[in-house]
Amino acid sequence: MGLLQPLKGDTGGKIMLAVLALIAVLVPILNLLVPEGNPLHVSTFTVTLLGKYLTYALLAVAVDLVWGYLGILSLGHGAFFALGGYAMGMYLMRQIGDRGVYGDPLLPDFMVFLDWQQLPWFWQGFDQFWYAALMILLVPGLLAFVFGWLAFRSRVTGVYLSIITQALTYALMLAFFRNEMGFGGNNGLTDFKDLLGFDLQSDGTRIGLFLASALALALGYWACRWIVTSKLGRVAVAVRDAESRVRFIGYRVDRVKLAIWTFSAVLAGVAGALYVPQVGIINPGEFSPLNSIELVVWVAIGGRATLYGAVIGAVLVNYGKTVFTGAFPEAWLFVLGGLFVLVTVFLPAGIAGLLKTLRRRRSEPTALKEKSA
Amino acid sequence: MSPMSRFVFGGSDPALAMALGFLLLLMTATGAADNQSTDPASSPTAEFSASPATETAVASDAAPQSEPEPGPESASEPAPAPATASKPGSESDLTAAFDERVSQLTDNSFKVKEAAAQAIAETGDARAIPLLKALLSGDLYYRKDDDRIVYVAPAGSSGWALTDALSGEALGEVGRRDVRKITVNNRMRSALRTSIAALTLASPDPALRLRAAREMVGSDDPAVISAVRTQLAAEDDQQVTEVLTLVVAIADLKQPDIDSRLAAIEVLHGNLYPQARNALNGLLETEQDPGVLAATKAALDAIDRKRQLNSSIETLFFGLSLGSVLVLAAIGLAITFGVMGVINMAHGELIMIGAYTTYLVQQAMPGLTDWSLLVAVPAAFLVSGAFGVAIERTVIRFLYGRPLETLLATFGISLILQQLVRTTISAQNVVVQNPSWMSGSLQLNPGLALTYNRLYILLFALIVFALLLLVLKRTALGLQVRAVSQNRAMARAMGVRSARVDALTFGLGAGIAGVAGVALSQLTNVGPNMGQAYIIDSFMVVVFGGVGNLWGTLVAGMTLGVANKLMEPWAGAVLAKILVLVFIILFIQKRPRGLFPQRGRAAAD
Amino acid sequence: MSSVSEPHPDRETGARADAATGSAVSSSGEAGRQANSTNSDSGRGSGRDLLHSDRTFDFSGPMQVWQGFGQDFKELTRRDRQFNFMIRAKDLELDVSHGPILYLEGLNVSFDGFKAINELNLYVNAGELRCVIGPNGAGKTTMMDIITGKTRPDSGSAFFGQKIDLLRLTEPEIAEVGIGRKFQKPTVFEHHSVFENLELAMAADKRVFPTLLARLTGKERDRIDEVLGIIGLQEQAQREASVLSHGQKQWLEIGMLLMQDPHLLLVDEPVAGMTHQEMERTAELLTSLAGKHTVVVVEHDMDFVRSIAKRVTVLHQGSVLAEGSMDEVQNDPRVIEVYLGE
Repeated sequence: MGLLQPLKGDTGGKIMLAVLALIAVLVPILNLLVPEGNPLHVSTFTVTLLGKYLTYALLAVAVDLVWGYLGILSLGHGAFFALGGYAMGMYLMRQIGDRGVYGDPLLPDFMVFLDWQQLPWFWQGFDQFWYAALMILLVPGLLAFVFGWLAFRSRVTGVYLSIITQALTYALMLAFFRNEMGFGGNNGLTDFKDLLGFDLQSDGTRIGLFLASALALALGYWACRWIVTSKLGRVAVAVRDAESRVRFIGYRVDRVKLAIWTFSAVLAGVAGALYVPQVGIINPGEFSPLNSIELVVWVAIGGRATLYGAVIGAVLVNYGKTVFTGAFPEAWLFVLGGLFVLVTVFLPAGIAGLLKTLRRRRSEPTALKEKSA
Repeated sequence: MSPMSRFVFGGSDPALAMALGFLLLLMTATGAADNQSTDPASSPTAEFSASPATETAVASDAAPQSEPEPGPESASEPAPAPATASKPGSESDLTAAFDERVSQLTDNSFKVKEAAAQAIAETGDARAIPLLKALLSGDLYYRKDDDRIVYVAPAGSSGWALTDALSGEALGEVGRRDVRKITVNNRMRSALRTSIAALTLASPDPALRLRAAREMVGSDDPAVISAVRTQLAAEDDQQVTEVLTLVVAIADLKQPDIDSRLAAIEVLHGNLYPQARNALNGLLETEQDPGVLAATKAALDAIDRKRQLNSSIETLFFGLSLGSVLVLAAIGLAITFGVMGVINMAHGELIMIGAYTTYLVQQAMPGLTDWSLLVAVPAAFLVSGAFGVAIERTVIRFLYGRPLETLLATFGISLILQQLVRTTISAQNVVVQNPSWMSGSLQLNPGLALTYNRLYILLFALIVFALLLLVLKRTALGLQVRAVSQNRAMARAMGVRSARVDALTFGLGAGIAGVAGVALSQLTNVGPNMGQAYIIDSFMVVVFGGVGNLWGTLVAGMTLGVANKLMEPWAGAVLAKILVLVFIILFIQKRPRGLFPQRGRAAAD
Repeated sequence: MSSVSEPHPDRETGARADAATGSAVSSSGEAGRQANSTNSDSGRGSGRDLLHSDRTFDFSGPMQVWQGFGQDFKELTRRDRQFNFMIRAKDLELDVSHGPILYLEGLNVSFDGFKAINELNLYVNAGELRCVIGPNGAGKTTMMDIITGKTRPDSGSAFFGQKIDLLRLTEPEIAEVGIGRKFQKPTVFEHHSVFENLELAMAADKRVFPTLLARLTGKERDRIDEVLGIIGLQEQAQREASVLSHGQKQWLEIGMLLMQDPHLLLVDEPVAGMTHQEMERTAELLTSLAGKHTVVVVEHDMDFVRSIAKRVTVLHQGSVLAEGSMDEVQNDPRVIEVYLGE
């Protein structure tokens, strides 16, 4: 028993968390204490990039929880991520105050531009961080709860579920594109100034956000491990493998799914909320079905149902994306598309699966040697 | 880019509308348009967001994408009759007057030009119509060195072939800089149209007279009206008579005596020409006499009832038209998804490949646009089908029984195909020509025209559906496909070569996607991203209809199309789309297996 | 609703059975509701008259409807009223005081016109070991599907004991009230160890949060070990279920059934793929379970059925063809015709 209990037997996870702790210590030192120009200096740009990867990793962990352990292939997790992001974005918008282009003390610029007279009701309260933080958890959670309640109760499963999750995020994207929705339409929310009084452009805030992302990832990872190592986690895997059988031994499959699904959506929302202040913008493009599908591929590449594999996949693919779109923008879609195909056909267990196989292969010969000796 | 605006018919692109307007002018002038709807407000053009460019009352739903460059017809058609040059006696005075007037067209002042054009029309010379038409369409030039008025036609790589506008004599080729266009302004354009119409009204061809008469509806030019009255007395064609009566009646609304006005109102009662409605509405404001007012109101009511009916029919038509597009896009998916259990996310890209095949076929056979579609349909089927077979053999066959994995792999393929098109052809949209038989519209009544392109595509969707049904129900392949889809192991045991059947089935689904691409190329922009716009909608249709059920796909597609169009007037296009999506999400909760589910114990797992 | 199901002589009234959905538990509440349902029925009837008769207006109809509302309201505000959502399935009492534990009456199910179950009537007494046989397509598995909530019948009723209306419960609720099922094709959780499979099946609070926080107690561990012993899979306890042989999976599924500790065990083809010895052990196990539990076995293997069954039911084309001891059934000319004549 204890805090480390959920990590028992999770070598990959332990290594991943150790690496995470290491960079969480090293990166701030290398950024703040090592002077610029020194080859060891880590630029603030890189810090922010790493922070962004970490929020993606948290999102991927959330997806792996429902896909790997519960068998729900969500093609709409980007929606929860974006909703969390929008909640944070609304707080950041309100923080701008009268420093906007139009200088309106209350209304964000885009509302002034649209000639709105007053703040819509759903923007009330977002000037308070605690309220925004609550919404970051509640909005994605509530949407996931309602959607899941409807879907799981009527036993929409498999491909059908995937398709309607995709429809969900697609519908949200269309909705958020509309100016009338009151979320900045096409342009989304941007031009943020500060968060909790800290200037978003300063190195210190960037480091802070990076550390917050690392901490959120570690906590989120731990919470997911805690769930999957509990009896509920075993029920979830049973649901994934033989749903109707689980019903016949007396578990309410819909509620099991609903609980884990909603938790996963909340995690995704938190990831989105940490993502937005680091990239400085949130727009309806985040809802695009393409994003949601892409993040499933991070998980597939990293290795489904391992959790730490999701982290590896998210970081690797996004690092690859950064490199490729910089060097050969034309080739990136070929690479990404090729990865989709190769991983699903030849590497169904992903990188984590590959590592496992390699480890097993290496240990087997030694075991044989010991026997013979 | 708003994805929604591109969803169905190319969206409301202002540039498109301008091109359209330009095209219309051109066609009116050259007589290329054989059908015109005279109501820009209620005609389907409204969907292309009638912009100021469509300033004329003449609008048709023709080819939204055709290049507005003057086609061969417009340049070559006004071949003037050289006969007029040798007219004897007093007529030669007229000819001289005509020539004189024509030479004034080189003047810089629009006023002078307008007067000249007016005078040209009044001469009644047979050369007047082609000349004025060329003037209207901007095909009339004059040679800089001798101010000779000429028609031009493109010749060689950069030159023009000139024809003397008066004598019809060929003047050889010159560079483009040696001639100057005779410009016209908007005021002149409308005057020109009236003149041309008046001239045409005297034409022996009833079809030409009808068109001319339609041009004049709503005109209050006393000269026009008197010309119409004269023609009306002599007119023997019934359709022309009707329109001419209408022209006169609208003018008569301004008559001082009550009986004339009442008689005119009687004529306009329930008439669907928008000009009639406008004129009646105008009368409503100025009229003093209560009897006439009541009659006006009654006439307007009758018009509004008819318009209501028209707009319902139109909505239904738009809905079915959208539905037919959805069905076309979804039906291939219904096969790969419904029959094989493969989630083919690259389906949209196979549609795109079909559309690009159409483009390439047109490039390969220039000048034969009218025939290109007939070649493109089988070509697109084969090309997309081949891609489908290749995808099945290289990727999907490793993934049977793992539908979610097929989703991811085919999504990867879709990215690759998109990028492939971007790299090999262009990242920009390409222009696919519309054959002439697809442009124009079927005029059901003056207020309602159904465009041919949509009618054909609706018909095409039904034909494809019927053929597919036939293939699945009546052929050996269909039997094998159904057998494999129901019980793979058993079918194999019975000697069905399931690998071959899989490849062919997937190829069939892909081929139909290609065929859908041909149809879509006629309605929407063809570009590397076009497939993505359809994939989610296609899945919605299949899932809504019930997987594995072709009829379900048909009903679902049509229902969703009509529902979308029904909601659009009050919800707007985007919100309508969102509502439809939300509806489907809720519907799936209620009936997880769609409208027409497969039933039985086997279907439960 | 209460008067829809025909009261069976062995049961008191259909209304009592409504307790399964918990509309009213106390008998006085029940009486009140019956009264008001009569009222509102007649109210509805005269409302119809109102629509159809063009001369006389009968105002008593609406009045009665109002009275009905009044009674409904009273009903809602009664102190001893218990609402549906407040009663959990496992709180329902299994009442077998009249003998039978399972009542299936007038059941009909059709799939696309094919009548899988046709006016099926079947009663199983508590503690009995009943074998159900019948040719393929006789409706045996569909019957089990109905009892466990997988398939909903088009008409008819299914009661567990006298009070619990199975048709109103979901699969997990049915499992919770004490019906366990072993499937024809063994379905175990392939990615879990044998031990975990048994742990998941174990009778426990199966709601989400208790499950999340659940820790195995010593007693539970002992119980799992005991069942592992019964099914002979101690050696394999920590192995993944996917590596088990077909027969071992059968045993594991029986083990899961035992862990559930149900009142009624539905066992679909338990000995398919078993050796003769294993079959004997299964027969032993099933007979030992009978008495404390009620066991319904569907089986094709006649020798096996003969070895365990006291009472046999023959299904044919969705309804009961014959019932009795094995000898009686085997000598029944209709049964012979069904099995041999076709």
